[in-house]
Amino acid sequence: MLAIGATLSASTLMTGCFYSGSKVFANAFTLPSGEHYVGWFNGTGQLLGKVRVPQRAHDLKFISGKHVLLAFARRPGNYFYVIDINLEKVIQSVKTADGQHLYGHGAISRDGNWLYTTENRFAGSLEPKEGVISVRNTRNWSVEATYLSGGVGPHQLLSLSDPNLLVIANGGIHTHPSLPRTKLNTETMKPNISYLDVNKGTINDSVTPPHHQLSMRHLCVDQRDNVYIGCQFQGPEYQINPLIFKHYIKGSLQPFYAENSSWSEFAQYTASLAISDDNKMLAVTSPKGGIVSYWDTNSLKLIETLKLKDCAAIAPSGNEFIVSTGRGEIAIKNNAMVRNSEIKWDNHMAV
Amino acid sequence: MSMKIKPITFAIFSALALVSLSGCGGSGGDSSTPAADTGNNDTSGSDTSGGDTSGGDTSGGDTSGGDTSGGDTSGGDAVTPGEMTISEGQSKVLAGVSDSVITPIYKEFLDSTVTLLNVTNSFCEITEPAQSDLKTVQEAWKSANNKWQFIRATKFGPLAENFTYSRIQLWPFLPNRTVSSVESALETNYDFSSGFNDTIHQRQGLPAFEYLVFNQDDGKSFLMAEDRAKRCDYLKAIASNVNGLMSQINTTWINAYSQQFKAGNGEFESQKDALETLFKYWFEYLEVIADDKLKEPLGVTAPGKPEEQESYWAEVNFENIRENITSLKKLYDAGDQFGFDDYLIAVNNREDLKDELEEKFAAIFLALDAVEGKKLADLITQEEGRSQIVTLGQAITSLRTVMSTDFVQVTDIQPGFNTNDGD
Repeated sequence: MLAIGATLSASTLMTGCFYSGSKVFANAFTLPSGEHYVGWFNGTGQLLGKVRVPQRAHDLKFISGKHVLLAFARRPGNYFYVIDINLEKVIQSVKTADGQHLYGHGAISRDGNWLYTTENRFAGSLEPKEGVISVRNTRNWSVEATYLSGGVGPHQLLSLSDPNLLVIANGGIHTHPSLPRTKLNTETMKPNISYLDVNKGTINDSVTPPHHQLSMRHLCVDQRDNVYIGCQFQGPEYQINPLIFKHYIKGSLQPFYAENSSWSEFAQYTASLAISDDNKMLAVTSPKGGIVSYWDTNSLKLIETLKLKDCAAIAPSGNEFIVSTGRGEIAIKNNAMVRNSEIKWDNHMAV
Repeated sequence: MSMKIKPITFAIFSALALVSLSGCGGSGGDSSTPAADTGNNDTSGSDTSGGDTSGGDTSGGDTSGGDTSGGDTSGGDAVTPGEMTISEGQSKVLAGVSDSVITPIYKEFLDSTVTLLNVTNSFCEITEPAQSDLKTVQEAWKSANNKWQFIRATKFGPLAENFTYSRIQLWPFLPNRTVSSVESALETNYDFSSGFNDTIHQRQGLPAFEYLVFNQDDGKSFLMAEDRAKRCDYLKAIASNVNGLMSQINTTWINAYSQQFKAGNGEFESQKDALETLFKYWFEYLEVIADDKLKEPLGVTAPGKPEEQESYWAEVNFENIRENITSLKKLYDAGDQFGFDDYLIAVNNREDLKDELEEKFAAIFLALDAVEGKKLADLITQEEGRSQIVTLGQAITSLRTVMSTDFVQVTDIQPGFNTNDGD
């Protein structure tokens, strides 16, 4: 029996007592038994609640101003879960359309009225097809529009300050649920980031990486709409490329700079990105490299890398970053605040 | 997000000690191409120093604290279940794996590269080589390749330094790029006398050699090619290069790295860290077998994707996988020495798990027996063959499932959740 389960099942809500203004972080996790959960914790890593989910969750999104958290199933899952944090309960499970599955990510519009999810429309063809963005209202989660994502294998997407614009990381990798984790087109892949106008359903801008095998997969955005992109290289392991870029719509793609020896530490893989509240620092994790990296968003230079095995999810906490690991740690930099070896924290963190 | 929430009573978890920083980054080093290098034959005394204990976890009902009560201290003798300490168990496993698996197989591969070079040199002296002469070279390649497949899962330490493994076998393997790089090198009169000091891995290593001696395409097959002399120079350069690289790896492993590995020091934080590094790449390679070697050529439907085969020309794909699985099993159980099969009993008193893992390995070998003598390129084109490949893949996945859940939980050897996951 899991220690935290026993503890939390016995917990009771304290009435008349609130944390005001405290950040809450959410992260999916898996137990050694294989059971999947979504948990949420405060800035010191203290677990505040959890709920079990049928499909392993990947990314999560809080709905601002509500006690609601959305958890998106990892590819090729086809559900996202609407979680009431106060009730500690999944209040709704929403399924994708038949013949489609999620890519593990979603974004909420700035006004909170719309949910956008990246999806794969795989039915009827085994050839790579452009991904889709499903647009749902946040009242009853009905799909009200579907747009093409601008590329194959859309992964993470984010809203920009312009309420009509989304930025989408099209990873370029063709997958099919019949071979769920197999990459089917790494030799011919064409990744990009695309900017989608959700009013018109058109792509306003699109930019490709310097090497066609740099799969552009994860993003974060600062308050000025600068987009930061984390890549995973699908080509020969010895070929060193910058894996992190900065972009502003209609501008050119700018690589972050580090020595080849530093890029080697990433093992060709980045996981999550986060921007500090003052916009000055970018943090990027690499679980394959076992490092967290910190970058200057102005000079685009590497500040430092710190070893933290199996790190992945990361989120800003003031001008620091909270990072979690598959070894059950919740840390600031590489100093673990808490550790529960039963918990395997998953790839992304919401705040 | 910031929000008002109701606080919930929760458990306070113990904090972990600081994770130590360590320097990182590999500097480059050119590969030289010496004459046949038989390597350093010294085998340093295989002590099993106690080293550090792991980080204080007491999973699996072990008895920590440095006791060496009861049980035996050498592989092969009966052990008292559950009475060996974690520290002693880890020491014994590291010694078993290092001394009885990695060190010997590194030497075997090195020796096979010497044979490959000598056979190639002799072959290239024949003015009008016949098919039987070419076959001698092909067999020497197969023998070297077999040994390489055995050590490939040990992608750390000297094998990983400066991506040396990629110089021996480009990763991910790309048959079409190998062809274009090799033919381009020939057409541009690449100077093979200086070896391979450039950074293009696809023009060097075992896949390039395989292409040159096994390719049957008109005009490019070795015996029919007009530039046979040049192709011979290329073969000799590859064989010499691989021999030189493996000589360096073997020397570094024997002289220094194996000691660090066993003691859990040097680039390792502890013996547990050394074992976790071993299993990180163990799991990674299991995924490579299941995904890259089987699922990618299988494709979604028949006729599959033969161009995605690892061994496109020699077609020894299933032989490769058999060597890979044999290697992974030995890295797990250290052959007839003290390995994790013994550890699960001696430390964790979990003979049931040990038996379950034996069954998983047996199922994989059974599935391999079903495809023995058959070619992957043939099987992927028809449903029965595809079904056999799927069965093999499922057996591998089944092993991975038990290793990544029960084995990890019982032994607390954590190879990584996000590390080997992929997003």
